[in-house]
Amino acid sequence: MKRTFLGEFEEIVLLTVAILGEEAYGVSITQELEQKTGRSVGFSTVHTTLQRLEEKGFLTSQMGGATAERGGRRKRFFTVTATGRKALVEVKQVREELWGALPPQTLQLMGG
Amino acid sequence: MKQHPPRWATILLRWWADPNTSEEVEGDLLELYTYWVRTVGQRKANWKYTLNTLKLLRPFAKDKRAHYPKTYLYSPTMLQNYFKVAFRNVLKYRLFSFINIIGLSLALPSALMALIQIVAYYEYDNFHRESDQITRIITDEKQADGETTHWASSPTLLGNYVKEKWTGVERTTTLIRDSKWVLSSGIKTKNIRAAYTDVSFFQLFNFPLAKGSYPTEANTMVLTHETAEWFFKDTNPIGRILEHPTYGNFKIVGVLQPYNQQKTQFRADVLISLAGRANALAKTNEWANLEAHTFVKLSKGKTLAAFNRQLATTSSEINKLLDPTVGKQLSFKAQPLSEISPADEELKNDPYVQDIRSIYINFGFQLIILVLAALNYINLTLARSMNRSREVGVRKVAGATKSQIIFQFLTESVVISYVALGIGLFLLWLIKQTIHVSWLTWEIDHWEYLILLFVGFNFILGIAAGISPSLVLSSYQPVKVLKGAVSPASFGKIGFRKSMIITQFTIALVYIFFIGHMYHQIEYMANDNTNYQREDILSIHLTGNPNKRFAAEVGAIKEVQKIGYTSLNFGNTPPYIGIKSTKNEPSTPAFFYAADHHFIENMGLKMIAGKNLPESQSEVALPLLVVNQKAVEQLRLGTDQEAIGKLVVLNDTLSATIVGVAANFCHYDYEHKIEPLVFQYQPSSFKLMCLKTTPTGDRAALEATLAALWKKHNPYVEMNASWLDSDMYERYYPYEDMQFAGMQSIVIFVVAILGLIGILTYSLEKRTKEIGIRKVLGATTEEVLRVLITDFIKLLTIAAVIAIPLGVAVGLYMNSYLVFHNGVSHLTMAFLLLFVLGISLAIIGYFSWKAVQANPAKTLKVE
Repeated sequence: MKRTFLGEFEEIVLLTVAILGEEAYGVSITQELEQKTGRSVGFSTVHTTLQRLEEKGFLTSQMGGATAERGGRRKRFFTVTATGRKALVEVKQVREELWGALPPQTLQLMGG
Repeated sequence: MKQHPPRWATILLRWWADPNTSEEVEGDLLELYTYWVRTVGQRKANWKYTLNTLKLLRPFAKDKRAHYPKTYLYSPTMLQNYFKVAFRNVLKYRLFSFINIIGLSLALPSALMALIQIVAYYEYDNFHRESDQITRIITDEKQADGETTHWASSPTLLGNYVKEKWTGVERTTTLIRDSKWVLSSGIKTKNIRAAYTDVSFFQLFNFPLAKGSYPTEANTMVLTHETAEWFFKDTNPIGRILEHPTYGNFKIVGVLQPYNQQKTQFRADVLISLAGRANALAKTNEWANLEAHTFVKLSKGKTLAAFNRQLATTSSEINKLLDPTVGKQLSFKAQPLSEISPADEELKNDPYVQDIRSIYINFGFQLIILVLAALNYINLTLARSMNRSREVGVRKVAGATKSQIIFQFLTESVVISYVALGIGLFLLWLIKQTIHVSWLTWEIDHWEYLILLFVGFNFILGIAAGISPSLVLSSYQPVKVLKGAVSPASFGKIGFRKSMIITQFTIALVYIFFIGHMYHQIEYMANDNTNYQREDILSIHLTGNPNKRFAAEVGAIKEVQKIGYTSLNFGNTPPYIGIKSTKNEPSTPAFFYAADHHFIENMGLKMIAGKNLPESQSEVALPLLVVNQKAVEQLRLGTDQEAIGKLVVLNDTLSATIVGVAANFCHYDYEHKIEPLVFQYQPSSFKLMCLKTTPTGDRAALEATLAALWKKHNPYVEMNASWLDSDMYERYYPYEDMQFAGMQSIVIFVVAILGLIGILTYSLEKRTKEIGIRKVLGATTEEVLRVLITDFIKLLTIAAVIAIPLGVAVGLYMNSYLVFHNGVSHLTMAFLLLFVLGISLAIIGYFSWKAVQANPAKTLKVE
């Protein structure tokens, strides 16, 4: 059941959780994603992805303290686990290797 | 927070979203909602909120909260599981699923067609303008002895009476039907359903004209599109005349646009002006004569109850006008147009309207095939119950309730029935594309009802097929099953299954015999040359009296053997004349043909006594007759020999001598009783030139030669000619209906064969070890094969023994409706029986052979 493969969207979500640190919960992740990537991201998609990442062991979560906001409902905060960090680093390495393997003239052609 | 997100979305979320995360999800969404309201406005925020909630719904998601699982029958997890197991079972036992699905889907189309027909009955006459204001006046006729007859019709005069007497009646129309008409254009004659009516009819009901005008004057009529085409092909029929043998000439003033006759009770081929009829056929006591259908259009706002009160008054007034000696009382009632079909109760004189009871009896007949297929399903599922008993046992031990097991098996049968429905609908579509079914209309206005009906009907089918296996299987005791102490279930053990096979094959055989017999009779009627000679007879329609110069030139063509003349071809209903042997007795009706020597020869009539009419070229009629045996018998002229030379009076005026007596033969309808028949040489009545030709491969060439000759003599009229044999073939060979009936018999046969295969594989599977032991002990393949096959041969023999007398009985019963028939064809029956038994035996042989081939070392390995 558990895939250790990290999808593109999963990767972005995971990164965003890492960026937000202590303040990573559904709404903040969604808004951060929308601002950073500039694309419209559905909350439901983010939520499902978070669930999946937690199932895969890349994220853990705990409920925050009770507040008077949002009808008294608590927030669920996410933190990246060691496996999650490892997966991110691996992905980064793969990317960098791929970029490194790119011949310089192609890089120039791409305007890089 | 002033704005609330859509409440229903929140409720949905609370019910169906993953309960593990419901708190934070609800909170997050609420927070996002306020953010959205601020940034994009409330409308868009509502929309986004709803969209996100819907995406989060997980109706079948597992409830991960730690507590004991619910065991409700309808809990989502269970429902999901039922379907999962059902699909797995369908895929696991491919052969049996295939047999069940194919059997059901082959059987479905005819039942679905019957459903379409039922929907069509409910959609009769729904295409008229303001049809809710139209009612029909129906009549209860109370006899002096107190017996009441319910009529759909009413007195002819009632329509006008009501219109003049009462306010609130916008329009009335009177319709008198006569379905036994015959009209002739001279060359072509057709049985016609006629209806007399007035112009109001066309204002009340929506039958638009294609050309011409509606009939108002006496002896004028409009034709339906099909009738016009049949008589006149592409030429313009307006102004042409069609002749009725008794009522004379009718002038065509208009042609209606094509309409679907299956969708209306007003099925007629011609509509004739009522004006002329009143004079021609006036009956003495008109108020007592309930032959007309009266339709009334009420003004807007007038209630049916108010009109019924007026009708009650009318009834009592009319009853005073009735002749007291008739001794009956009429009472009129209004029946709204929409309530006419289907009729709640059967009314007399209500053509093309079915009452609910007979509709459902018909539907029952269509269900027979489906019942057979469903029986296959039950039979097979029970036969395989051993395979499933362990599953039932384990599930029960694990805590499944009986109702859950029942639900499981019902789900399976329903799933199979819907898969079958899919294939069945596809087959239905194929039938629609390829076969014209004369009794069915595909034009249904309310497809949504129909689809609902199909789906609902199919659900019932699934439950009906699944209920008994599910009850049997769910009552297994886990202790016994898991110990291995249970034998395969069925009703009354093996006997039930055997009788099922016998029943199926008997029904299949009888149906196939029935179709075979029908084919046999139709074949006879379509290609009959025994009553009169049809082959290679070409009829040319004359424009005036016989043209001798044209005849001479035609006679010179080498393919033409003999030229005869007649007033009418055989196969049509000829006019009656009165005949009697002495001046003072009343006349007997007899069919009359004007014919000459060569026509009678061309037709190959058998002369019992005397001789044919003399050859004559004269233009005056001869007082000489050829009659049939029936005429001799009816006029009491003694034996056929004695009748020769006796005088007969035709139509009270002309005396003529009988010169010949022809054997009775069927000259028009095979159902019609034999009636007296008279041939006389009467050149003024000749309408057809009847050529006997040599059998020629190229009929078109001969026709072209003749047409060229015709053109020379009649430059302004086109030649109108037709071949008698192909005309008769077309008339009697209902190709498409036969195709459909043949298809149905194949379906029944295939369903029976599928049932056989199912039982065969099952019983062979059960006997694998027995076969192995027999072979190990030294039995040869033939011996084992014989043991296996004998059982099934017995079953088939019993089925055949039951089916043969039934088949003969059906044939005899059908023949009893016909005066001229081809008997019961024992040859056809024998052939069909051999065919059915041959295929069944081949299948039994093949499967047994394969079972016998199995290596005993393998089949006995586990012991």
